[in-house]
Amino acid sequence: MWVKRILIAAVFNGLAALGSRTLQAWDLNEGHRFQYLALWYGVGAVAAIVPAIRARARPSLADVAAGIALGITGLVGEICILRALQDLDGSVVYSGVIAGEIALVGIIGAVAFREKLGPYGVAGIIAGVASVVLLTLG
Amino acid sequence: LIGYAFMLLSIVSFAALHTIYRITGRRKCRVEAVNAVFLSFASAAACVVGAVLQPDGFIVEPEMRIRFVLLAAVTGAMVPLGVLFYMAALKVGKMAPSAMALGLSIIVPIFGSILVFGERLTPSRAAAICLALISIVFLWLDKRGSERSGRDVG
Repeated sequence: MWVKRILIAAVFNGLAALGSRTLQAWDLNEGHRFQYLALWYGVGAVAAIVPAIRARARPSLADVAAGIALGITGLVGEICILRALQDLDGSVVYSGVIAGEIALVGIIGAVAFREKLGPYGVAGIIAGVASVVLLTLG
Repeated sequence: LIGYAFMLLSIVSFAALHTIYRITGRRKCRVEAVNAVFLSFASAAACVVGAVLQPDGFIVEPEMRIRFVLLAAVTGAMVPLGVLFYMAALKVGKMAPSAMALGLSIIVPIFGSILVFGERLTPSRAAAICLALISIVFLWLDKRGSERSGRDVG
């Protein structure tokens, strides 16, 4: 079940990211990044409200806090990437961020949630990080 | 050095994002409601940040305007679906493999670049795609192994 769900999530996430790649190809990424994100998230918000209404999911205080925390961390991450790109090469920034993020998430998972990775899990993460680094290096 | 500091801050932010997803996915939060609040807030915040950091960015060349809006609309509609499935995956899986698998979604824009923009499939990209597939197989084997041995923490 996990594989199915995560693969579907990865495909949707990848399709969403295809927009950024297209924006870059149109040479609009540098000057219009946040306007694009505002519209991108905005359409996403409209699309998200429909299942929320269907599920009659009236947000509790915890839901609102979690949603705002997700929004803040996501945007801070984006702003920091944009700022880092002013000083560093894109291949360094993107591969470094993804590899670092996975490593830190692994540590948090092990320490805070006692999630243990087996040898296959470690091998999978090493192969995945190597794949991302190769992709960002071109 | 400042570039690396911002890179580090970005790593911490995104790791925090995954951690919040993990907590929200396993607690009694309503994922649909969290998703709607998250995207509404992010949209409004991106608008404010854009006004501060890129005030000229609100003006898009007239010939690109429709394309710009359509691109954001079509790809933006994928975001809540990706988030919902990711949160659903975190309910039954571990954080690091889930974040890794999501990170591998970078392959989709790479395929898109090859198909839509006619970019070349270089040997390093082909090797990266093979490694990504190997990674997914390993992560799946880990998940299967942990289910059998009861190593999964729920």
